[in-house]
Amino acid sequence: MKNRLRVLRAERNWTQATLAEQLDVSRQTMNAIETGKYDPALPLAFKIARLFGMTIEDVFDPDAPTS
Amino acid sequence: MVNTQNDESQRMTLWQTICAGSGTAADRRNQLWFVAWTFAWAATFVVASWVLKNHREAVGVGGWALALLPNIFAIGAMLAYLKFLRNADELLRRIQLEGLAIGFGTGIIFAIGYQLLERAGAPALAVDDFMLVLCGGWVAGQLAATWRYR
Repeated sequence: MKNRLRVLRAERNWTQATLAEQLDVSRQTMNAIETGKYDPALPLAFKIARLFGMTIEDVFDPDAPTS
Repeated sequence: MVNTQNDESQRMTLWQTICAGSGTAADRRNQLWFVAWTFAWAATFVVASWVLKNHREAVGVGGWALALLPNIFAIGAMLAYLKFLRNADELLRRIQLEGLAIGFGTGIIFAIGYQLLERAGAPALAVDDFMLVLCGGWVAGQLAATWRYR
């Protein structure tokens, strides 16, 4: 599943480690989500969307195939 | 315009994967408890084995208690691992589950498959050998899953 995490993070000048710390996950998890290798569970997807002040659909696109 | 060309979203290097692969600080703490219980289990097993082998008569009926003692630490290790797994970072939990699936599968395939090899003339193996294959599969499965999600 594609997502806009990389762009949203870069807009705020956050590193993956910073974002991971705010979400209470490991940097590996953040990296795997960003690169589309791993789709987060619903609670984490909600946490990510809320952190950026968006809806889940604004961050994740289930219809776009992972590149 | 946001520059995302040179940031960290590329595949992580092996070293970065190993460093980040152990989850959050809470995960590392829970892992340490599991390792501590496992070491205690191994240590009591070695001591109990040595005493039962060399001083069997001296311990008398206490030998039964001594033989059962390592299991207390083994149960502690199992409970510590369950706690670690339940509270683990969600990707780390998936990596652990893939490791367990590969380890368990490898162990079962080897144990059942080797029965036929024994009938074909291969030397008989001890239970320890099957445990080694199972644990080896568990570690290999964790490494493969860590590499997959790097």
